[in-house]
Amino acid sequence: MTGEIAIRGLSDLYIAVSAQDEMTIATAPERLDEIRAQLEQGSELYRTIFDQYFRLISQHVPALARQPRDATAPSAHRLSTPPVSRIVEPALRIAVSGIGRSGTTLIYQQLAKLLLLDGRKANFRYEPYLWNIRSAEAKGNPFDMSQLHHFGLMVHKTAPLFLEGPDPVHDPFIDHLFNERWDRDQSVAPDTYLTKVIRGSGRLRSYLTRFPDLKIVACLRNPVDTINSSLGMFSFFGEEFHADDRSRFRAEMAARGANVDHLATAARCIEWYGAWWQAFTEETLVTAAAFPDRVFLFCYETFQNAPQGLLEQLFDFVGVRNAGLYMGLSKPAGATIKSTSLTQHDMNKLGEQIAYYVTSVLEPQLGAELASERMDKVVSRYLSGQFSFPIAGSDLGRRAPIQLRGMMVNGETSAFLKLVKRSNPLVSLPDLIEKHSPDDAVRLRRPVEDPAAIKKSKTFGVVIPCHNNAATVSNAVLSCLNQSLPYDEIVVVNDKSNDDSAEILAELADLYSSVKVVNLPANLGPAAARDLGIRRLTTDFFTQLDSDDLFWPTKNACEAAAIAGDETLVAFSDILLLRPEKSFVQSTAVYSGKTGSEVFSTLMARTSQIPRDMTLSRKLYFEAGGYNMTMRLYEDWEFKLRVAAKSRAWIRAEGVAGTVYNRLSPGLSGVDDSLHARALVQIFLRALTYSDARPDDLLAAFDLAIGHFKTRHVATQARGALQEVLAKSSVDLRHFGDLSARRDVTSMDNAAFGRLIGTYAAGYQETKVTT
Amino acid sequence: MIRFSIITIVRNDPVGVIRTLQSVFSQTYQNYELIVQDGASTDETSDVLRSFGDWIDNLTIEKDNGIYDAMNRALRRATGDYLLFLNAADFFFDAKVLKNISEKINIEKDDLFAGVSVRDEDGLPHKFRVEGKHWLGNTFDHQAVFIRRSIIQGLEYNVRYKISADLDFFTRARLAGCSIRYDDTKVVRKPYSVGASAAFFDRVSDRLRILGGAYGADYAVSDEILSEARSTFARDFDIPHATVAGHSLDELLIQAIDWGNLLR
Repeated sequence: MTGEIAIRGLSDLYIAVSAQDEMTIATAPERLDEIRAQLEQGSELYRTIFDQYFRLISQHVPALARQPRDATAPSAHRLSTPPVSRIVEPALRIAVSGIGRSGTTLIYQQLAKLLLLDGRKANFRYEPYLWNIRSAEAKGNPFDMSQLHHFGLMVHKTAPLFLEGPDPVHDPFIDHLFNERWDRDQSVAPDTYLTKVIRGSGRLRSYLTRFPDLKIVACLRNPVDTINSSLGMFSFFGEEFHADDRSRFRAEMAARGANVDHLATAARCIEWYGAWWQAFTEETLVTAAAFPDRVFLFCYETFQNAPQGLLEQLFDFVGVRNAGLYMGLSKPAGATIKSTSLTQHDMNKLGEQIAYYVTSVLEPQLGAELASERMDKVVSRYLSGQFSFPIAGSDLGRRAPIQLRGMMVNGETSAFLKLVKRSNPLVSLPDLIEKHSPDDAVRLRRPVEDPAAIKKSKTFGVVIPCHNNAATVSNAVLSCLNQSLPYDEIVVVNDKSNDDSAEILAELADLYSSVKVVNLPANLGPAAARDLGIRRLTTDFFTQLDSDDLFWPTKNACEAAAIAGDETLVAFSDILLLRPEKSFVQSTAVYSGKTGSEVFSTLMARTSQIPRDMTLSRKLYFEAGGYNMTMRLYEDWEFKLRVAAKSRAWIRAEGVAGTVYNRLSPGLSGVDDSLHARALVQIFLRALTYSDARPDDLLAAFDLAIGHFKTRHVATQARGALQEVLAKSSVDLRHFGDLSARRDVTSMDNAAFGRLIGTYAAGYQETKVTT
Repeated sequence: MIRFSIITIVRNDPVGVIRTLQSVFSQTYQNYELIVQDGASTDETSDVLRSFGDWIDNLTIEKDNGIYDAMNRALRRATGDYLLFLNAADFFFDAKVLKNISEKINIEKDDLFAGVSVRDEDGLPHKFRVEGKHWLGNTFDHQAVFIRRSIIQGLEYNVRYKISADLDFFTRARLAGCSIRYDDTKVVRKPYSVGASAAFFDRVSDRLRILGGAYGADYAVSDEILSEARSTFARDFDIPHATVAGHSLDELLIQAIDWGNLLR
């Protein structure tokens, strides 16, 4: 097919060629197949192609003309376009720049309206590193594949993220933005150019040096709102369109001398977003300082504070005035947020960026007092928002960003969707907070004032065993991330689940730098899973959480404060117990402030609510011998007895509760009563070997500990044996207890076990005589 | 009452060894000793083992020269009537294995008592050569055979064979006149990995050396192994039988390196 194409801009050429339009090029038709073949081979060839075309067009542009698609439409007129380097004419050139979600679209649209009302011949370019959108109205575009700007994408992928001077690929791209014929009439040059970019914050100096009359409106917005807004939509790193932004960003940051170690921890963690935000905010401020007359800082918070004053300054800066601008900007994004994708772990990680923004942007703009007040307000809003997991950078986004919502609607699945579409939790923490907390959620969740004072230079971790708890484990992990004092490390041990746990946990580990997942190749049971998790933790202190329970938001702060860095103590909290009919706080006050041996004696009777998920040092854990990995019933009680025997004292933490203990369905209902009785009896007797501390009345304690299982035969046998041993004078109860710690006893049936302790009790006196 | 020596060799596999020991501790038959040889693990394995305390009768943590050296070191300390090597990640089929075996084994007659090994991947019994074909290779699983202590302590494993020292031991035991009893009791579940590997070539060469030396005079050992190897290569490398037919074993082994590279 023969024909001619008119090249209105370099980008047209790229779109035309890459879209495989039925066209050819009059000047070099023989090259088309070659170029198409190259395009099919991959986008890394864009640069080569570009170079070829740049040469080609410089020589032959007048000869190019467009072949109309519609035969009935008037044929395109021939153009006589001079080489791009020669069409510079005096004009108003404005770039709106910012990090994504910092208000750039808002400013772009309002400036565009202003310019149109002013009767300008304006060329509009909206997000040209990605889209080929050339209208004043950015909203309403479908943002689908047909609108991708292949040339812009190629430029973004090819040019460094930080660019100060000339660049053979980037320069023609800027020309295309600020130095072309008018879109509406190619015979004239426009008098105004307006472009908005969110991936140009590191390249502003190359814009400013190439066009000495270019003005930049640089949008600034606090990192919390900016990043949260991004997390719900798209990633700063644009993995949807170009997979290498993260690696390029890290490499360029490293080359600029920044420490990028924290960017290696998790693939999509908040640290990436914080680093990106800070690097480009810093670069924007540096550029603004270098070009004070040509860069206008449009600070979102300043605008919220006093809209009119900032708009007046903006009018002065662009040199166009019109009351219309007020109309669209009168309602800046509200003081409430609909949903948050930021956990308190994330907020904590953004601490450096928040502090930077306050001192470097807000204080110069608003003054110290107003700056900190404004930032406090921002942060507070996130303490009560409805949480949703970040879509940005998810596997969905990477595969098919534009169809993302469609995929969700159509029920297609992926690891990310499994995470976000987890079944509605039966347990609603916000409801429980409302019901059981004297403070509202915001006050309850408010980050502790001085973490260092509470932590005493120690670190705190959680271990969460997970076996087929895909439906609840993400909420358990979230409750650890949403602490007023976030945990330093969260180790989830996937005990060979058969459900979606592994996929969901891998997503969580990608999102949060403090979450580590250990996938066991075999099912070992909760005791061994916890033990291995505790060994993998690197923190000084730890607590544990079952994957169907939750932590109260102040759990870590209160228990860390209670333990005060002392590795010989155990800290615990009351328990918020959820039963099908009601939820209520179970007091653990009985254990409050007791010494280890007092706790031991009280624990043996299992009467009042035993503390669970205590905070203790890993050192104490190992000294106590850790979990018994051969037990599957009451292994936590057995463990607590040994910890009590080794600990100095138990401290009850303040706060409404520590664990939200989910007993909506009975836990071990499938296990036979005789096994319950046996486990309780064996642990009770075994505990006689851990410590000389005893309840005052051991038999009464036995009865309480065995509870309603006392009618089982093994329980009555054991009680009889215990009574007989106690009746004898100068008895060493440790010897009696030793029987229950023997390896061969674990697999004995109840009858054999009963005989063993019965025989021992009966023969005790003689045994003593013969030795 | 028969006393068993359960020997577990481990290095850097905490999960595997916990699973193994959990299955040992759950045995209802309690007359056994547990010997664990840890090849100086560099992860938490050694700590995990220590946490079991005196439930492990004999725990040694030391560097060794490969798995059969570790097994030799461990078996020298054994005191039971029969030894079973249950290495990390292998585990008893159920809690009654030792009880069942103790009732079946005849201490007067049985030198080797071979039960059945079940594949952990699919729960099916792993198949071995029929008994009469012992001159071609193993006829039972190493981890499913109870070995009279005096025999293994007398013969030990030959550590020059990195992979086939078990075949070498069983061959020497046969030549020494040991009785072997086959039984359908399921003893062990263990993961089996499949596929051609460098280990496969070593195994063929070792088999040829071990079995050729032992039975070469009476059986067509090298012909049969060559024929087997040809079939295996044809299958694993997806090569026509005609192509492998003309090659000697040495040629096949050399050629297989190229074929293996091609597959990669």
